Amino acid sequence: MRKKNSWDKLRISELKMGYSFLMPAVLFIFLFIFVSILYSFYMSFFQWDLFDLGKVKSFVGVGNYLKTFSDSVFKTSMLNTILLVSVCLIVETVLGFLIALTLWTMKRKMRVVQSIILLPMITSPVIVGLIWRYIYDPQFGILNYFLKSTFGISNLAWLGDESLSLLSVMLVDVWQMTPFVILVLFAAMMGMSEDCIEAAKVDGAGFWQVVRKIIIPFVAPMISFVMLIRSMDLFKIFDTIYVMTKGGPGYSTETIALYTYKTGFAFYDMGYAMALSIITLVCIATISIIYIKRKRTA
Amino acid sequence: MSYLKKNWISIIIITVFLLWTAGPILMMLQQSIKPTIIMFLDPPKFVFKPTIEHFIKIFTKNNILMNMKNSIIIGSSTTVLCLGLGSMCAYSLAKLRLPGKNIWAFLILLTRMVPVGALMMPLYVLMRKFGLAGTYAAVIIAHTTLNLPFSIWMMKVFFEDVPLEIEQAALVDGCSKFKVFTSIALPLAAPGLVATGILVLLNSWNEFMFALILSGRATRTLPVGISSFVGSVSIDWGGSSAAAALASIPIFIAGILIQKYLVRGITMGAVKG
Repeated sequence: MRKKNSWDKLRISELKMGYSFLMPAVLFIFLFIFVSILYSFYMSFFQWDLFDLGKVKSFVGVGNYLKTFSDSVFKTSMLNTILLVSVCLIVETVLGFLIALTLWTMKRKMRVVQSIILLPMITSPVIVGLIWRYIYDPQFGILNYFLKSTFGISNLAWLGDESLSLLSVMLVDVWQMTPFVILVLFAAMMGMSEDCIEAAKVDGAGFWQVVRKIIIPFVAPMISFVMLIRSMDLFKIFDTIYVMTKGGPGYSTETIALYTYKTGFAFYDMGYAMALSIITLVCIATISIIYIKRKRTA
Repeated sequence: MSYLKKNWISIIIITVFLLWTAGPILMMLQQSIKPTIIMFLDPPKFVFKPTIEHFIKIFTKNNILMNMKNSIIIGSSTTVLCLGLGSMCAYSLAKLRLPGKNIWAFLILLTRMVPVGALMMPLYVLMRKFGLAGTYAAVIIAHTTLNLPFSIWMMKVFFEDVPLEIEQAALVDGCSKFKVFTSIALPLAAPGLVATGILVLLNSWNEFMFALILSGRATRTLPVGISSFVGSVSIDWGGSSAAAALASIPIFIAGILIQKYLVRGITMGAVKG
């Protein structure tokens, strides 16, 4: 009897400690994330503006959501975002895989290579945008200088030309985030057992056969994970574009995050901005759900 | 060694890739010490006598020191909050027997998926309503909200790596559960906690969107300060490069010194998540 009592006491003290350890962080997260989302969901049904923070608001139902159908800027920015996400995702994954593979064939843990690869990733996106504004500068940029001196092509306005600007913005993300793909995939490849590959070679498999039949299946889960993370990050891309083009020229580099920002802070149409936030949330949730479902069936 | 004959191709590919990766950063660094007179020469000059004119200018005219101070205050507070709240939460999820703790862990993971784009507007309005907009607290809260979920998950893995036997031995010797946490689990998981803290600090130091909308004139962080160099048409090349160099060099040095932890932190989500 006594023994059971002290056991209970121990259990109760564990529970007490457990909850007092768990709750502060959980409450913090829930207060700021869930309350924010619920709040923006609720306020997306009203027409209100930034000045009085919704003291005066009028109920418009799903009006803000319906507005997206007739809003051509919304359609453009959604299309831009989808283009950006898909192109960057494919280029970064393929390039990252190839570079990781090359590093892997060299079979060495290279500190120097790793240090350099890390640099773009740990640079602030604002600074990345700034650096590439110098590079793209039509008059003094190094890129145009290089093109002119080697190919004789002159004065392309990389960020100022509507047909080039989105491509230029994509290139910056490829520059900055391909290293992330490399690091993850290289770490995965270094975890492969040598025996399997040696065995395949003894059986006469060529290099590309080894890549196709052993390496790709082995790192496939990592590839899909990296693609999920990257597509979530790309979908909310804001900082680099804000610094480079602010969405322009015209709406050629407008993304959904930038458009949400402008709707709220430049047009003061907060109800619509809240609706755009919820739409972003739904899009990203859909991407994650597709990923999780595919992972389950695989 | 396998496929050694391909090595020279590998070396060429990697060299080209490294040049492409490092080039823009080197360009920014050299621009920060390039005299204004030769900044816009055609063809560009790569050998010159370095100058510190841009640094003097940003210290005296642009108040970059204040931005730096703000970044340090916000970054360190965010790190302390994330490590404090996060380590307790992670420990209880990793090691204590709590009913329904998997559901809690899953909910926390779920919040990691929430796009910051969707939080920007409501957080701004809520901060204004709480009267916090423009204060350090607003930015610190936003940065903690962004970083807490992933730091909990990261630290949870590190606490799971602490052998259960050692903790049980301490319990048998009469340690309280709390004592086990403070004097066994925390020290043993310390390297992992440091890695987590560094990532949080880095994220906060580099974060722009929330710092832009939530900070006031006196609480602007470095990225916000740097973005103000960029006009819609023209940029102050020398000044902005100097500010960018100032913000990046500490990160580059720290990043290279603690490379092992950093890479572990970045890739861990992928390997263990």
